[in-house]
Amino acid sequence: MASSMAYKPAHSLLDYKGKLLINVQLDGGVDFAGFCDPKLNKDLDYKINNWSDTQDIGMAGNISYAPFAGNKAFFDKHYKNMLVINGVDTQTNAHSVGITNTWSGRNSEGYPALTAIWSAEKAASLPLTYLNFGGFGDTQSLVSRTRINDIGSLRAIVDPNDSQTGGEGYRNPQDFERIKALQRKTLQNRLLQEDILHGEEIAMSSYYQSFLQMDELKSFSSLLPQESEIKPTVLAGTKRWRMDVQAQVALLAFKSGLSVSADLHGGGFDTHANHDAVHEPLLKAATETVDFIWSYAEQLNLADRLVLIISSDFSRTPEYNSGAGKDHHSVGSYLIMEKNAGYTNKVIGETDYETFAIPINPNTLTPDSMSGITLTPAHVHKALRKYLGIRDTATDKRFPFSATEDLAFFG
Amino acid sequence: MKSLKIMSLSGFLIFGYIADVLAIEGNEDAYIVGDVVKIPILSAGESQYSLDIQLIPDTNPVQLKLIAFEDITSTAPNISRASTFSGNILTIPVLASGATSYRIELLLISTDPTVILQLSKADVIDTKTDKEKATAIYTTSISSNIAQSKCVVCHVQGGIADKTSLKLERTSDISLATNIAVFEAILKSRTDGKDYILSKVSGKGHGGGAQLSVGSVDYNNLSEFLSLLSGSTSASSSVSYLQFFDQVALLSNAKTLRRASIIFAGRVPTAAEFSSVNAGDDDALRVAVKNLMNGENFHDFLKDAANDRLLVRSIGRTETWKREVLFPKWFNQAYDLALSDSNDTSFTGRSFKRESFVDQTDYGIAESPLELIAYVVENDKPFSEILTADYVMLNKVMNTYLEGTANFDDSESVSLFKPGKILGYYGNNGTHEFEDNTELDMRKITKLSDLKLELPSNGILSSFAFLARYPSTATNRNRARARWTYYHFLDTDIENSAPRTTDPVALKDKNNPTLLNENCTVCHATLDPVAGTFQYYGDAGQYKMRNGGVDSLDRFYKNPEDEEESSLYVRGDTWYRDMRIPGFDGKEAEIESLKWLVNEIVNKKEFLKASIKFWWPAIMNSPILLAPTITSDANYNERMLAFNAQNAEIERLMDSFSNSNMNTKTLFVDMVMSNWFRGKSLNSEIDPVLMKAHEIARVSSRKLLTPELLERKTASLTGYRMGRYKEFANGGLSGSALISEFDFLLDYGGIDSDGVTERASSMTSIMSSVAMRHALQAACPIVLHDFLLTDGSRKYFNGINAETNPDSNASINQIKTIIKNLYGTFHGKQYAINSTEVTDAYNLYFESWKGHETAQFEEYCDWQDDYFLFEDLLPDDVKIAYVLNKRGFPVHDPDKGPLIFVGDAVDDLTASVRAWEPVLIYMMTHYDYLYE
Repeated sequence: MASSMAYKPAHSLLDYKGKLLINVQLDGGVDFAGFCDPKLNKDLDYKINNWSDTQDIGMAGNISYAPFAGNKAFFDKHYKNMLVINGVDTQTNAHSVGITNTWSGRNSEGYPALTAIWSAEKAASLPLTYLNFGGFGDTQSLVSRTRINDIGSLRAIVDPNDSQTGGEGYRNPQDFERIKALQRKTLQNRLLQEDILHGEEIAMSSYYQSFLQMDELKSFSSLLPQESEIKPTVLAGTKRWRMDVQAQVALLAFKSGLSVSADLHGGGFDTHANHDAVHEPLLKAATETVDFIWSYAEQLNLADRLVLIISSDFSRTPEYNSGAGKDHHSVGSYLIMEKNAGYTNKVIGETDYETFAIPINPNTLTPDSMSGITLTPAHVHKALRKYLGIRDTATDKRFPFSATEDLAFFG
Repeated sequence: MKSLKIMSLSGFLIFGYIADVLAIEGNEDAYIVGDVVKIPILSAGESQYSLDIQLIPDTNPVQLKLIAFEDITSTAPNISRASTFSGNILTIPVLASGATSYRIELLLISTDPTVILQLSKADVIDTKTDKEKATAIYTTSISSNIAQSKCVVCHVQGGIADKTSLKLERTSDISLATNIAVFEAILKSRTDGKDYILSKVSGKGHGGGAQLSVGSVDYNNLSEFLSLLSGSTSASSSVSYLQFFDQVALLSNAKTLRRASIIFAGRVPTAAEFSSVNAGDDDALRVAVKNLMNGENFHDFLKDAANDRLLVRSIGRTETWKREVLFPKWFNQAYDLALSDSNDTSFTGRSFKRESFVDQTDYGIAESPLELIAYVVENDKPFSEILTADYVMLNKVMNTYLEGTANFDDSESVSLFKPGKILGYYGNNGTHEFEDNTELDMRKITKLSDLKLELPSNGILSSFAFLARYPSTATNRNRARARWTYYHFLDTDIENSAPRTTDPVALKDKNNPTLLNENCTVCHATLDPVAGTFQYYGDAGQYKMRNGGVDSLDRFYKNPEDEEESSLYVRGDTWYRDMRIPGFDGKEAEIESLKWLVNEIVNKKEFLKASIKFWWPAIMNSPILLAPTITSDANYNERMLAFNAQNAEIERLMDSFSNSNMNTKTLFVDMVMSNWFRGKSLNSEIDPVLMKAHEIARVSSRKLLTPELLERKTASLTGYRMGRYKEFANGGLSGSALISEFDFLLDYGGIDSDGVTERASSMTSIMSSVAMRHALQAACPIVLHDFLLTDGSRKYFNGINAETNPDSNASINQIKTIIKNLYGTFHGKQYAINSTEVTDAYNLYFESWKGHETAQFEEYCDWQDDYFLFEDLLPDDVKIAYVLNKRGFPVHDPDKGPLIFVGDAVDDLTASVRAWEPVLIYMMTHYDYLYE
């Protein structure tokens, strides 16, 4: 069959001036009671946290936070640019289901990540349109999912003919261009063959598309920082923390015009034992990474376009277990950040003194235990799709939240 | 649909019903008149015809000849049920004969002087009504297997579920009809009736928990029954999963062998291997494929594939168990090396003997369960031994310092593993005596405790790596280990079997809900007994770490901190009294509970299914599909079709796997012979549902090579490995940039077994760039190395030399012949010497050669990128100057010897040698190279 696929022309780089989406996936179950849904011990017959033995709940603007880890610095600096949605029930205690639900909006597989939808709708043809550094990254074949290790490996491949030895190439430019031209011609001819097979057509066209876009990666070259400016992998307690590395790559990809969305991934939050000791450095590392993202985005002149979402597969139990750990708890939070937005410096949704969700009135978004609804990830995703302007698109209709109420989180 | 064997048709023959003349006016179905088959509409490409074909008497297999035809394209007939012609096969979807209908395939065997077709396939089509079919399925497959043996226990008058809409009759004269009517009533009362019942039986929101696993035979039968009863089958898809490969051709024997060889042996087959299958039939192919299953690359394939599932390689980053003084000999060796390091300031200013020692132990521990799997497969042991093995796989560091029983020579690599038992395990009862070294902040054991324990082995489940990959805590209580045991070895994903309740009362229940609250017991009744069988293992996998080597119960359970809470613990207990007792499948475990469990598991049919799924992604290069659960989802029908087809194939493979005494190599051969491995083409007129289903299932003739397979392929073809490093600090691994986490592994779609656990299935521009970099970096070393060899012993460039310029017909012919051979080896494609493909590649060579007459550009050739490729060719005074750095990469030390450029040994004055580099780069970045 002759190829019916249209080969997308290389996207005109830097044309895209819209929003850029970062999804910070904190894997394992963050204790939101120690973050943006703080609780005090005083109402309980057990201890919900250790920090409130000596401290009160912190306030930054209209947002309350737990004075734990690096929260104070984080909320004090960024409260004006954040919306907190508490009391979101992921309806599961199982990691795999929580991960799927939190980042696709549905607790059964089959829906893509919001970031993948965003890329598909806004800039599907960009070479690195959707970056994913691990964790949930279902694309449902909407777009390609690109993984990049770090800036070191990137430097070696953005211009593969550059030997990194001071200007020498592996082949002279004429040879290199001839090789690429022949490769393009060969692929193009193959794809036009009458008897090309469907499965092979998909694989071949994916290679062709990626091959065509290879040269566009060069626009990365001039942006790659000096060795001394590259964010390293660090230790957060005993865990390796690579999210700074990921964030730097993602923002540079945004700056280069090659990408519009990224999932950053950091794990280790599944603190069934020694909760405070393990959670504290991880949460601090996470908030410091987010702070870095905003400052680096400012430096790259991207901050005004950035929408950043922080969430986790679910939360942790209010009480400590016998091993000073906290177990799985289905009710968690989303934290959405954007500069100069009308919906920020606000908290929507509540949990009770034991962090169980309090239903809210779908119209007023205020607590309504009698006739309200319990928030789920679907509500957040549905509202985000609307706010981001990707509701009622073909993709939205293909993965709808038909039975989910429309909530005006974003005004 | 029941398939009939062609050979049996002589007595049956569709024309035995010639008297049953069925002239169906106005219908596009084919029909029979006398000895003529009338085909009202035949669709072939863009055209449609009507034709008559007549039986040729006394032919066996039956043959028919074309006696009339008419082009009816201009009438724009409805072709929804038309016969089709493609690939020399005429397919008649429905041919009625008497009370029975058939699906017929006729093979075109002659066109001159007469068009003659030969019967190649005839399948009976069932024409019963949906209700009749549903009743038949219920009678044969559901009444006894499901309704009476599972549902009726609770869903019966007086049963604990008799208030639900499903209230069944126990077996009686009327129970069949009555119970079907009960199901029918549910389907009529709710629009989601089918999904509702299926979700219940699979455990979702079902007080009785999971009764059927999604995808099991019983589950599929129930699903089909409900579909038929609700009349939804006709609306869902016209294509049955039994027809999944009907319009797919298979790879030839040679191409099948090539792909299997790249996967299993990491190399292209030899000429003799190709020859053995080109001449032979399927049996010859089976033999050739099985013969690929040996050697280092097969070993690496097995381990990579196993790690893709178990993800144990990520545990190399934890030293938790080593902080325990469970292996005193290891503990003291680490101390001694640290002391040695502290006194050594040579080389880079700091020695790293301890670090290397730890790395080699970490490597051994992470690889050990993978090595066990490889050992079992390579030695033709039943696959069940991966769980029942009473030995562990040890490398020489583990063997020495954990006091293993295997025997190693000093010269043997740390990456070599042998089976043995560990004898150097001590319980931690606090009676070791130590000497502190405050400067090092370390201790040395000066006197051993008397608590030496026998460390049992139960295959993967008791391996340090598995236990550390899924650590436990005082509240997790081995549940993660149980969850992954079910997932990997019993084909059950408990996490996805039931949603957590949203009932706020249930959520706040603190009275041991996992034991007592039915919202929780849905999963925990299944999960917790298996967790109990891991009772002797502590949080990080330590065996009988407490109470003088009796148990591993956490101290909080034994001695609650809350003074008001009394301890349930009784001295001598090994498991929690507030949990279900250790067991599995309704049975109580024996004292050696994990040993008992593994023997239970390997006797379950679910283990067979899990085993097929364990290997499927690596061999088929396609995912294990999940049954779609929401009928309104986009492409639900296609996904269900693909799932059912894959599931049917897995169940077919289960039979032969079981019959072979779980011989994994035989399973691999069966998988290679499967349509799922060999399916290559689709008829262009294919049903769109089927085409989408194929896309979902990734049916394709070529598939993207993983970084590991690409690295092995390049190494086998050229000897080159990009940025190769060798056994040293990295724990004995011989690695390269393409498969290293620190270089391009993740960029090229690999996994790190931690945050990135799913391989890339399609190419990205980053991956294209990695492939290009790989080829650019490789081309010079490969070409130079080959030309450094004597003519006749080279891999590719025999018969030419640095003076062979493309300036005469003879030399041009020589160059083109080499290019032709490169295509054959690198791509598996045979092209004529004057073909476009060879000419195109020759032009690359020629233009590059010609360009050098005026070139100002000095190409970079990094031969040291793979020093080991050249090592045997280097003089001793050069070799001695290369020392391995910390990572095991050779670097030149100018104080020890001269630095040379190996290219100087080739007198390439006219650039006729290096002009091969663009050709190689083209070959190695070609679709046919990167996809097999």
